[in-house]
Amino acid sequence: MQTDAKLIEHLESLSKIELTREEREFVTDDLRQILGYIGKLSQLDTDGVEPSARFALPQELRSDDAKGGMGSREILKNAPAQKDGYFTVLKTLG
Amino acid sequence: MKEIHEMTAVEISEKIKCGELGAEECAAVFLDRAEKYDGVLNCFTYIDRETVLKRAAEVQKGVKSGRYSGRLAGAVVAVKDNICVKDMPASCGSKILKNFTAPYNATVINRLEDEGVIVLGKTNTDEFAMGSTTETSYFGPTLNPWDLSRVPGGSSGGSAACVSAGLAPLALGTDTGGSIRQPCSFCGVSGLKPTYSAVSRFGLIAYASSFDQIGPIAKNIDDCAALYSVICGKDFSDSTSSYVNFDYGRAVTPDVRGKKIGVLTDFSGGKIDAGVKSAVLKSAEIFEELGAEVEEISMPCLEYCVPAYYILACAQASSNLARYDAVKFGFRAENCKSADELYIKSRSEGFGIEAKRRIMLGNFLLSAGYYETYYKKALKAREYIKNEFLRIFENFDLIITPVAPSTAPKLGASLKRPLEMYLADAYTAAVNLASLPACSCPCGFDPNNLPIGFQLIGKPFAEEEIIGAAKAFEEAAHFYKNPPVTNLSGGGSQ
Repeated sequence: MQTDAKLIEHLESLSKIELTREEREFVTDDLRQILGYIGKLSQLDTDGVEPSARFALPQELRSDDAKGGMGSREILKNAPAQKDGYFTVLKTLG
Repeated sequence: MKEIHEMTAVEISEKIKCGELGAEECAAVFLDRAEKYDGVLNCFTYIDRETVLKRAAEVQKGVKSGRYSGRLAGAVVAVKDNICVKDMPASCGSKILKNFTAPYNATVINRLEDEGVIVLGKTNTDEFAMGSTTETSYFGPTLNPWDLSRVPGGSSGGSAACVSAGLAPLALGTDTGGSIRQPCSFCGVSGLKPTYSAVSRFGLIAYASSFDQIGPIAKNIDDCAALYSVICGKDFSDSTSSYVNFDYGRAVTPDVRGKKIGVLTDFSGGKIDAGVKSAVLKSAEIFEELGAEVEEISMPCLEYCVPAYYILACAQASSNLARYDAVKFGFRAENCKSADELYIKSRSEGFGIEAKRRIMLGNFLLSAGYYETYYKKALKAREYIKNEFLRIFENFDLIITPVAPSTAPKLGASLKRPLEMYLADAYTAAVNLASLPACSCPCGFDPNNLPIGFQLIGKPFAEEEIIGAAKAFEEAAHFYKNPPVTNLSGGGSQ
């Protein structure tokens, strides 16, 4: 498999991350190594094995009662920008 | 008489409850030690003396009034910085959460507060718990108290190192692929990675949700059991959590006679230091002397554990870390002109390289055309590995393995060879893949006087059985030691 510049660029776009030139070199090299390594998994014969998510556990759901939340003031404390009790964001439509 | 920082948390609590020591006095001892030694070790990312002493005074009153009478009442606990403690920072060792203050308590913290346990501060971690050395933290590496030129392991390196150095008697860590057990092994302390779902993850900042578990780190297995007994069990804020039937008294009763223990040291493709192997085999002999039936076993699929683990963990990380969009919380880059630019610049400046590469790898593995080859195959491998463990457990009660194939590496050595670093996770990641419980216990020292640990793996929810066996071992062989004090102040051998 090729871990060429185009693939890295695509992954940056999917991840909403822009790498510096130095980081890009590191990630390209690293991805090539990692993919080579994890590819060995194909040697494990898993015919007839169902894909697992995790242990099947008895699930019990809580009753659907309303509980007091934190309130907007508490939540907005961590907002990087806010105005009049709302999060401030940049224009999303052109 | 032992000094306060040399006592276990259970011992400290007993003395506080009988009036021999005060909660404030004990908390002050650890605050003073952190002030004195943490400039060098860098175990803590946050400590606020005033808050701790105020809480200790409240707890002292509560102990007197009988409100707090539990096994750990009055003791302090250090908390890994990916677990939320109300009004304290929760940075996950990342610049992107550098200014984040937790608006609520994780369930484990509520349970500890109800018991009169005092949160001492937040401990350093690899960024978002991604790493095995604590070097990927935005706040710089934590140093190993046994040798300041070496890493403490990770990702719960701050928690393990602070217990080892006597800066806290107890700590909470989290374990996704070995992040409690491996730093415990490198720092010479004990830790427990509970069965998946045994401890609520509410308030734990997610890395790989189908693996993440919170667990205790302490000087001995007794303290681990005491802390685990407080934090385990069903929580309706985490629908994946389970009811747990765990009894502290039963757990810490030494019990290994007649147990069948499988010994697993080698696997194809793995390298193990001779010193580590011989310490684990010697431990197996000690179990045999204690009346256990010990037999070597093999598990050929162990070589597939790291690939399967990395695929699943990175895929989950890429989803979990998508929430850092610089809108509701976290670091926001300046001078952005569009929403897209805001996301990209904030994430690019806020995440370190380790988080970036795992997010990108995860997105790759989940993308069309690769999902079946990697992600789905890894889910099948996970089931296969789980079934292999269950097959072994048809004939054995416990499995003993090394925690890691080597002792603590030098600072900087692992980051240059990431693949080698990941390979070293095979013994521990296997346990997370199978959702099993396992503890890490000190079992010797290598020629450089660095601690070695073994791992005892049990069946699902067999925490009592694991702890009982570890306790029997601890009573027969004392491997827990304080690191040389010259190290702590930066005067030790480099």
